[in-house]
Amino acid sequence: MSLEIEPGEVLGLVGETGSGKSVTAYSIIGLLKQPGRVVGGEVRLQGRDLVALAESELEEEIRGKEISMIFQNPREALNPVITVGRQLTQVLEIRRGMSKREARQEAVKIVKSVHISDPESRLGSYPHQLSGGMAQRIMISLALSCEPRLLIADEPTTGLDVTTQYQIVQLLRELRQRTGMAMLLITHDLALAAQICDRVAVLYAGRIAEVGRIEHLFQSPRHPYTKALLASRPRLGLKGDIVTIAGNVANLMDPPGGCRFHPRCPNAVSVCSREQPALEPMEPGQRVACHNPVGVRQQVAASG
Amino acid sequence: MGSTRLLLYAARRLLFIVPVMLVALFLVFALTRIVPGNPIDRVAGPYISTERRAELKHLAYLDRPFYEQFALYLRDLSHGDMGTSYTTAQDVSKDLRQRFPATFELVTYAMLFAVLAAIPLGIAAAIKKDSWIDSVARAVSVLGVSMPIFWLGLMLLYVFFYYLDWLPGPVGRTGSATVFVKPITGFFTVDSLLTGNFDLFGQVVKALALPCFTLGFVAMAPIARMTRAVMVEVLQSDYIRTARSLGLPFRVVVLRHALKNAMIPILTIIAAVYGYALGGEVLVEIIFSWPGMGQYSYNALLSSDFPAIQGFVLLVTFLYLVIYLCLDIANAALDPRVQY
Amino acid sequence: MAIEEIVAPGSSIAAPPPVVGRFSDFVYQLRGNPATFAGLFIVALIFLSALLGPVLARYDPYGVNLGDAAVPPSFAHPFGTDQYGEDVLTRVVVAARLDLIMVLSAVVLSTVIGVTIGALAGFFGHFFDEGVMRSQDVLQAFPRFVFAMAVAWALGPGVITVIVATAAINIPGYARLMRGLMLSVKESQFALAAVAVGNSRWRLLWRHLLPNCLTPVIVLSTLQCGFTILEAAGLSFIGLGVRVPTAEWGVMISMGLQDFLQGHWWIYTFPGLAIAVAVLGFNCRTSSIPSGGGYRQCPCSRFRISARVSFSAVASCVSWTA
Repeated sequence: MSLEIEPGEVLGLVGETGSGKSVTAYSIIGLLKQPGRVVGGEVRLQGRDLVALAESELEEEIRGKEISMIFQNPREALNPVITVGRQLTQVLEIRRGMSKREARQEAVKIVKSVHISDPESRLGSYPHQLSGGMAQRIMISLALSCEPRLLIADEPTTGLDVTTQYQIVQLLRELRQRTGMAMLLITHDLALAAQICDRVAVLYAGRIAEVGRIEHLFQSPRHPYTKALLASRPRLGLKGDIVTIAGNVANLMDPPGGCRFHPRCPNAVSVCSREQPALEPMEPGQRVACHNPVGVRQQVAASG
Repeated sequence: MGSTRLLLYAARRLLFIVPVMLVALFLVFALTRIVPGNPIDRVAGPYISTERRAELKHLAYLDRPFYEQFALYLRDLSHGDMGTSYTTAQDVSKDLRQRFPATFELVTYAMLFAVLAAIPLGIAAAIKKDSWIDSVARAVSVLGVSMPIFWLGLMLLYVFFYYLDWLPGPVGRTGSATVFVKPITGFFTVDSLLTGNFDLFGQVVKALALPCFTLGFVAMAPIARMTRAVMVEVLQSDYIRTARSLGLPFRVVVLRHALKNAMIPILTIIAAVYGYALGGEVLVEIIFSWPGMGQYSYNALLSSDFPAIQGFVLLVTFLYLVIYLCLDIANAALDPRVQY
Repeated sequence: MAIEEIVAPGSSIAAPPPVVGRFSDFVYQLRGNPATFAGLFIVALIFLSALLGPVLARYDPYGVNLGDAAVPPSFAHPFGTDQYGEDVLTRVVVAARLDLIMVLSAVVLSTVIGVTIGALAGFFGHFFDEGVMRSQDVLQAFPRFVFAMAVAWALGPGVITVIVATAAINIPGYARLMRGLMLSVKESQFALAAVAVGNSRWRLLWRHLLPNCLTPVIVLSTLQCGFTILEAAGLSFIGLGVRVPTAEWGVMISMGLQDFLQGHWWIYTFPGLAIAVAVLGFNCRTSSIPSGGGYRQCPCSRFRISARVSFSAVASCVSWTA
C-alpha cells in the first residue's frame, strides 16, 4: 500500500473496523504493539525512511517533533495519575529543553490556542476530572506541543458525544488553517472525512481500494467498495433499510486471493479471484484498484 | 493541596484501629481462657504452697471470672500497664520494648532488600518479556512461594555457616554469644555506627545477612511477580502509547509514567507481604535464635504466658493495622481518583 | 495474606459466565501449557506416593535402628537416615499420605465453611452480612501464621489441630470471596430469569447462583493447597502441630534442626525439598483451571477496567500471597 501526504494537506484514511487503518498509523511512528512488526516497505518523511531508523532515532527525532498522534477515547490516552499540566510541561521540558517556568508559560499558551477556558486551573486537573471533549483538547495540545509537521488523528471523535465531535472537528480544521501542518485522519466515518479532508484513501483489508479527492470520491466512486460504503451511510430522509455490505470483513490472517474484496463484490468477474488489481489512475487525482470499476464497463460496452 | 483532608482521613482511620484492637484482644482473651488448666500451676511448678499459689493467681486476676479479667486488663492497659510476664517476671511492655527493635530491624532490612530487588527485577521482566531476565524473575517468584521459609533458612545456614564458614551461626544479633550492645536506637546497625564501633558494625551486618536474606527472598517473590504483571499491563495502556508517541525517552516513560500507575497495586502487595513477613518472621527468629518478638511470642505460647501473649497480639495487630493505614494513605496520595 | 482481597475484586467485576467444564477442553488446554502439565504430574506423583507409599517403602518408617543412625545418603539409604536410624527416603514418601490428608481436609473444611458463610452473607445481606464482614476484618488484622499458631496452641498438638488451625485462617478468605461473587451474581440477568420462572429462594441460591460462583472458589482452593502445606509444616516444625517422631515433612525438618551442628544436612534437606516440590506442583496446577480457560488468565482479555490498573493483573498474582 502506498500513500503520500503533501505538507499542509489533510488525507483521510477510511475503512471498516479491522481494515488496518490504525495499524498503518502506528507503523508510521514505530509504535506497533507486540507481536506486530513492520515486515517491509518504507515510510518516507521528506526523503528519510522511518522504518530504517533505530528506535532511539525515532524517539529522539521523529515522534512528537515531526509526527505526533491523537487518539480515540482521549481520557484513557492521558495518564490518570499525573495532572494534565504536568504531562504537558514534561514534554516541553524534555523535548524542547525548556525550563520549568518557560514550559509553564508555553503550556498555558498552547492550551489557550485549543480554546480551553480558564487554562490555569485546567492544567491542575487530572484526566478523570475532564470531560471527553476537554480531554481531547488536552490531547491535541500535547500533540501540538512540539510543533510537528504531521498530525495523525486516530478516530479523534470516537467516544465523544455529537456536539463535542463537532467542536473537535472545528478545532482540527482551524489548526490546519493556522499551522499549515499535514494531517492524516483515520476514521470509519465518511461524513467526518468529508468535513475535513482534502483527499481520502479508502482501505479494505489492509489494501487501498481507492484514493482521490473527496468530492470526486463522493460524486463518482469507482471502486465497488467505495460505492457500497457510500450507500451504507445513514442519511436524513432515508427511506427503508440502510444498505449493508454482504458478508464479513476479510480475515487478515488468511486473506482471500486476488482482490480481497471479491467475495463480497457485486461487480466481481473471474479475474478478481486470481489477480490482485493494481492501484491505477482513473481520472486526474483519483486512483482505483479494481478490475471492473463502477461505471467503466458499462461505458466500454456503450461505446463498443 | 488536599493535605489537610488527607490528615483528617488519616485521623479517622486511626480511630478505627481502636475498636478492631479491642475485638482482637477479646478474641485472644477468649482463646487463652478456653484452654483448660491454669497457667500459674504450670509456671510455678509443684513445689509451692497452696497459699502462695492462690496469691499468685490473685495477683494475675486469674481467680476471677473471665469478663472481670478482661475489664481489669483494659483498666490497667489504659494506664499503660500490660501486666507482668509469668516467665520473665518483667513488665510485658518492657519485654516488648526490648525485643521489638530486634524484630523491627530484621523485618525492615528484609523488606528493603525485597522491595529494592523485586521492583527492578519485575520491571525488567515486564519490559523484556520472555528474555533471560524474565526467566530469572519467574524462577525467583516460583521458588520464593514454594520453599518453606524455615527450610530455606536452614539450608542457607548449612551452606554459609556450617560448610563455608563465611557467616556467623544462629546465635542472635551480633553473631556471637559474648558480644553485647547497649541499645541506643535499638537498631544495632545504627547503634554500632553511632558509637563508632566499626568492628561491631561488621559483625552485626554479618549476623543480619542470613535471616534478612531468608525473609527477604520469600518476601521478594510476590512483589516481583506483581510488579511484572502490573507493569506488563500498564505498558500496554493507551496513556503509555501517548507518552511514547510524544517522543518521551523510554526511561521516562517507564519510570515516571508507567511505574507511577503501577505503584498503587505494588504498594498493596508490599503491605500484604509486610503482614506476611510479621508472621513468617516468627519461624526465622526461631531458626536464627533472633531475640525478637517472634521468639518471645512463641515462648509465651509454649508456657501459657497470658499477659505476654496478649501484649504481643496487641502490638502485632497494631503494627498490622498501621501498615494498612499507611497503605491507604499512600494510595490516597498517589491516586487522584481515590475519594476520601 | 490477602489472596481473597485479590481474587475478590477482580471476580466481582463480572460474574463468570455460566460454563460447564468439559474434560476435552481441559485436555486441550493442558497441551498448550507445560507448566500445568508439570504441576499435574507432581500432584499425581504425590497422590501416588500417598496411596502406595507404605507398600513401596523398603524400610519401616518408624524402624528405629540406632546402629544405623545419621548415615549420610548411600545406596542403601538414598536420602540417608535420621538420628534414630530411620530411613529418610521411606519417611519422606510415607509422609505424603499424612500431609495430603491434612492439607485436603483443611482445604475442604475451610472451603465448605467459608463458602457457606460468604454465600449466605452475600445472598441475604443486611445485618448478617455486616456481622460477617466485621468479624472478618478483625480476623484479618492478625498475621496469618500467628493466628494459626494461637489456634494450634489452644487445641494442643495433633493431626486434627493442624487441620483446624490451617483451615481456620482461610475461612475468612473464602467468605469474603464468596460474598463478593454472590453480590454480583445475584444481580445478574440469569438470576432474574430464574426467579421469574418461579424458583424458590433456596433453589435460586443453591442451584443457580452457587454453581456460577465456583470457578474462583476452585482457584482459591487449589492455591490454598500449596500454602496449607507450608503452614502445616510450619506448625509441626515449631512443635505446635504433629509431634516427633511422626513421619511428617515439617516434623522431619525439625528433627534435622536438632542435629544441625553435627552437619547432618540430609535429615532436613530432603523433607524440605519434598515440601517445595509439592507446593510447586499445586501452584503450577492452578495456572490453568478447567472450565472457561483458566480463571486467572481470562479476566485480562475479557474484562477491562480502563481507568484503574485492572485487578486482573492482581488476580494473576494470586498464586502468591498468603
